[in-house]
Amino acid sequence: MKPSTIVPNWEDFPLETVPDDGQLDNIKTHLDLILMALEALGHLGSDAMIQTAKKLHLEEIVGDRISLWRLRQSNPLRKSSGGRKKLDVDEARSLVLIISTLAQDNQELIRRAVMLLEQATLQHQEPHKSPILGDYLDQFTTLYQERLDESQQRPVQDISRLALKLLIDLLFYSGNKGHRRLWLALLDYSYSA
Amino acid sequence: MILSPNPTILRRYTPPTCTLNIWATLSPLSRWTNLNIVDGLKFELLFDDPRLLDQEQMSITGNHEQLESLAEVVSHYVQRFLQKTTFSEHSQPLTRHDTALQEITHSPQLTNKGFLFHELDLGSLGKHLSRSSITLNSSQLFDLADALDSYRQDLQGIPQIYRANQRKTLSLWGSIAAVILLAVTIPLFVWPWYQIQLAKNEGDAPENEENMATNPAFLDVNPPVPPPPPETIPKLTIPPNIAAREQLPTPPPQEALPTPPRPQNAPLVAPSNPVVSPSPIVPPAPPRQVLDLAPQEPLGGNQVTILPAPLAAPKKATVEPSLSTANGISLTPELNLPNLPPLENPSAIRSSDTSITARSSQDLPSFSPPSSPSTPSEQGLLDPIPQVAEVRDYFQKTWKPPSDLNQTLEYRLLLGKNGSIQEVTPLGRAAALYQPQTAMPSPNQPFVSPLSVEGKQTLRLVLTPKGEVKTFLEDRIDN
Repeated sequence: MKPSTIVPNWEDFPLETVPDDGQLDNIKTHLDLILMALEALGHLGSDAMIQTAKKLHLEEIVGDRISLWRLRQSNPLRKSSGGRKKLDVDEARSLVLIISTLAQDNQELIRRAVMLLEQATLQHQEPHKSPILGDYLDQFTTLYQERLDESQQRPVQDISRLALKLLIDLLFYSGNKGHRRLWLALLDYSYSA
Repeated sequence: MILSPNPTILRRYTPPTCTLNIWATLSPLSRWTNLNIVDGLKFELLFDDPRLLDQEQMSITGNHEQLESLAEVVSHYVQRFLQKTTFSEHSQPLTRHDTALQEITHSPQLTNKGFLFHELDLGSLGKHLSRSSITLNSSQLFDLADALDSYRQDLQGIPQIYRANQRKTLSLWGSIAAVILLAVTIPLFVWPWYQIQLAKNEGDAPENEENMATNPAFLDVNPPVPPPPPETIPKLTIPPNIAAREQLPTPPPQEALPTPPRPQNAPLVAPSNPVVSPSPIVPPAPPRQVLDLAPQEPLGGNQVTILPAPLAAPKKATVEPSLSTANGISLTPELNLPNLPPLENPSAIRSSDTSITARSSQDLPSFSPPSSPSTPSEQGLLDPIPQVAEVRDYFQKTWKPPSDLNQTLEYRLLLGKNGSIQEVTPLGRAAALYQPQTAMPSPNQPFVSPLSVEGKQTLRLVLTPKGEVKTFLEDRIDN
């Protein structure tokens, strides 16, 4: 576990009670899925995430590919390599900041994709007929099937639905208070899941 | 700072699909003080839908309390919406079951229509309108939530300063009255009582000392000690290198734009000095999203004082920011699965040769992932038609962002067969306001090379405050 001195005073990251292990597992899973959605939509790789971490002065938590990979590998639904990394609260907060910053940087793309989804829905069209959405759904489904454990595999239709919901969520995380929204959503998610 | 006695715009937020104007009126009490007392805030919310004509656009107005109520409802709803991210469809409504409360307070209410559309029941805000609800898509809901977030962030300090100054104003007269009262009562009552007590104490002093010595309970009284923090809460400290992050998430608030707002009932009199909010000294954020309006210590500004609304409803009637499970709707626990036993072979994780998805291989052969990753910034290599790059080149040469611009402008350009612009559609109010400063070419004038494809093409033009220019060919949903 990283020393807590590297974590800023997160006024927007309230924590009334510390999540237990099960709740932290849900947080880890959700963070990994959101990052997967960002990867799929913006073709963002580890480099973009590490660069963003540097921009946020979070190098001590996410300094290189290995540390990032270990954090993401903490998702309990992933295919396991054994010795799974534990994700502490500070690391979760750091990932939240990275996600919201990446979403802000890619807000135009996210907004376009969401508007296309709205347009497709109003016209009773399949979303994947739009190149942007089709590419996104393909990428997300591929990443999901590659990385998550066999027991977590779902029909493609379900994975696509999850991907589209995550896409809309990303729009909200790209806002002025996106990091706070994501953090509160993670806590609610972990407590209620 | 001098505010006009007429309503004056205090803030304006212009995300692409709505405009939120915050108005303030100078109270007549201001003439008796050195303070500008704002007699209440009002707001106007315009839903800008580029698909609708101006006369079809919907707008609502209300007072400070109604705006706070709307902000709470939207914020709470969005949090619940974000919490509901699972594999399954939304079978449960996201709205709290507080219809009775809503009927009493006539506060707005949001109801989900699937996860893309949301119906906003305006409550008391819609009683003078032709319709009492509006259906928002996700982009509109996001813009509304973002504008309200920005408003609350900006106003977070102001009410505290308002309240502090208000308390200071009132306490000035209160202090004068108290001093006069004390000056009259002390000679009449207190002095004789003091003489009596003095004489009495002289005789009792040894006994009192003895009592204290034999009564250790008095000696054991310690000042109250705050309870220790729970051990499980992690200790957080601020490293200097991350302290700067606190200023990053929110751009500076949108000041009043140079162009006039929509027509108002009352004529707008521009203030002699610009309306400037107090310096953004942000107090520690309250837990969750409750906007703390309780009086606090003065923060240093003394320009503006706000009077409380005389019939202000208790805020807690509609403010229920609790985001815990106590609000009654549980999440489908589809992702809450037990930990999996570790695999023996770590290399399995990096497997990239997994077969492509059934849908992408069968249903969508044309949407297979690109062989090499690319970022949006590399769009030049990916422009489907050369006119996309030509338009971008033009605006990269001409786009000089105004100094007061702090948000992205988006336009939809309809290109004719001969490469001229047929139509320009600003997306959002800010885009419309700043359009004259974008060096937009005149319609039907030669602009870019003629199209080599049939029909007209629609481009999206994105101009950022940093001077960046992006262009995209708009997607069409093909049958």
